[in-house]
Amino acid sequence: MIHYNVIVTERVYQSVLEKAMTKLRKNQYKKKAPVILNLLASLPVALLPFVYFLSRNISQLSLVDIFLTLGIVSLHWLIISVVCLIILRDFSKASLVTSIVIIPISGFRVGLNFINRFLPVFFYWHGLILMLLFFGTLCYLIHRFIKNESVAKINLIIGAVFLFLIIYNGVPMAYKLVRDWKPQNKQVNSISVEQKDAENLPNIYFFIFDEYSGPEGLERYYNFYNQKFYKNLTDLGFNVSLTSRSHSLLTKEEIPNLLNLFSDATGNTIMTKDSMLKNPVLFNILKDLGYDFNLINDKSFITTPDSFFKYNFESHGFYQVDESLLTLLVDKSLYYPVRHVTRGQRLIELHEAFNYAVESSTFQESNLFTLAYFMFPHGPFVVDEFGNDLDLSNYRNWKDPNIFLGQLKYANKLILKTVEEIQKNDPQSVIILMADHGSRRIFQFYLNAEIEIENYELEVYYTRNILNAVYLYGEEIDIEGYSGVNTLRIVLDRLFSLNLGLIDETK
Amino acid sequence: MKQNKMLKKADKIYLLLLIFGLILFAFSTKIVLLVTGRNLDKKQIDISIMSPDIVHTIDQISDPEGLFKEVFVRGWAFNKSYQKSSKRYVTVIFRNEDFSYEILAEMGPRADVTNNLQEYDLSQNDIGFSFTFSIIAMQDGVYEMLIKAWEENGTPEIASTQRFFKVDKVTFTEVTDEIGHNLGPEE
Repeated sequence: MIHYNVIVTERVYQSVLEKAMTKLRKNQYKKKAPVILNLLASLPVALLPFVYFLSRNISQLSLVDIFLTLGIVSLHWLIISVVCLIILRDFSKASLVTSIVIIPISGFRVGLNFINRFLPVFFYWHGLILMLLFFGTLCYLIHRFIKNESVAKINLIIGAVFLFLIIYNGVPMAYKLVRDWKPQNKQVNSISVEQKDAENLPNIYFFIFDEYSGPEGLERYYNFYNQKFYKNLTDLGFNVSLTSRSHSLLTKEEIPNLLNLFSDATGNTIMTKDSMLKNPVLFNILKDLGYDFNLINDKSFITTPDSFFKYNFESHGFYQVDESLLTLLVDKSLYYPVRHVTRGQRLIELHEAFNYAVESSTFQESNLFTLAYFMFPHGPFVVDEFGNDLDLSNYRNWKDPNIFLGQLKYANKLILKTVEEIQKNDPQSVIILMADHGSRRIFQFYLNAEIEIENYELEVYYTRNILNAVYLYGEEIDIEGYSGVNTLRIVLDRLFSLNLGLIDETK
Repeated sequence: MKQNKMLKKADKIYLLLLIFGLILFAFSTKIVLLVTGRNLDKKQIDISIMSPDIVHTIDQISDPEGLFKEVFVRGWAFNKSYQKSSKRYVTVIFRNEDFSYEILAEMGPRADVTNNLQEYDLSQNDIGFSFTFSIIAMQDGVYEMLIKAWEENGTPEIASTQRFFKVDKVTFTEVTDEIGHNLGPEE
């Protein structure tokens, strides 16, 4: 009897215990869910500026840029959340403070510029100290005077509002992406060639100078005659073309054209450009022939995988890339001083890139293909014709024609010095100097609604006039009037008898 | 009761930090200039005797740029009694009616000057000078720009550039008349 009672008591006890445990688990789940929701409520606030700028610049961005920026924005949110959590020791309150402070952090510079309109002596450090005081006061007030239940409700409201704003900004962008996705998957043509004896393959230097106008463009838009430069080039044994034209006015289209030896890259987004540069035809041909690769990659524009290159040179610092989503966000935020451009910095980068180009002529005696992309004489405008640093106020100065012209004239000096040195080190080489398009000064004014263009096609025609010169170990080659793509085909056919022929330039 | 005391302690800490923050805010510009080495001290410099023996040119004066509103100045200068073997120094003085600021320039090569002024038998390495200064560190007012140059163990000589500049909050402008002639503060 006693034994039976003990068993019954044990069973009742177990049943009660199980019920209690189940209830506890449910309660824990109920508690955990709002904690996570509360914590995540500040994430949409942190992501909104990212989504806003992403939606407005989607065609100009690469996938790497988007994911890198997303990662850094999320990490930034996490760090602020953890700091708030350490101070407040409460998830909900930490999330609320994060939501509130992340907005002024993200738009710090915008606010500073606004205040400077009325108070010019309000400097960065004033804003920073006020931000810290605001942060401290916020932590104190929320910790002291706001109840946890109220904080949770406020968090959910903030999270919902910002989530709505993200959807509002993101849906049209997502729709556009889906709509445009299909034509973006451009297939590049492939050409197969036979391998040659590597020792007999001359080194090739292919230098692309962004925005370097041909003579017709310079005469039309700057009233400048660049004969002296062309005379110097011909004296150095270059074959020059005065009437060559690019297929496009956009770098993201013309460089894929050049590296794939076709003119298919019309209407490119940056993502399409990246996909067309993944495995370009020109590289494949040269690789099959037995070439190694060397890259001078100004502003990281060439996104061909690093695995292609035996040698590689990046000219700029991480935060100095001009056109990226990350730097766009940094420029507007509390962290903008990391992007602070010091006088002469860009010019130092360019000198380093040109010096590396000369150094490249000592790497291998044969079978090295050097591709150099210089965002030069393209803006930012940093140098005059004598090599003096320009004021930072001239960085984007298209109004004064002498600013671009000064940078172009200095580019002439650097180009001539570089090719002379290369020829000295490597006389049996091939050097191709080319631009992706000419100066787009007139279109800068047009896009800013400062002028009307009477004959758009005519201006496109002159703007497409490019620098095009080829040194073929001192031999003559006719490239007059040929586009960049066809010039490359002519050179390859001449060097390796590939029978590539020409593409239709009227397209 | 204990909780009340604790709360009062927290309030006091908060108030102390707030006051500290506000004081920091009030003196932040001076602190930042001192910490970053951009502070300029007011000096009394005797400029009663101007030397005609300093040959000089100011090639470039930039607009105020960046966080610290820095102005970049580039030029060249030397004494006519130039000794090739001596080390040279240049400072630039911004003179107000009551005080002056003096900034030491960094010397550098100027092959173009050396080539054009061959009669002085100049060395290429130390004719040019450049410096940057923050206009935040300067009191508002009109300043005459002077150049002081000397050789090691020599007597410093001062010459006026005949250029006047107005510092007004965060602007730095040359004082000129309608046709671009430089004007002094009196004019």
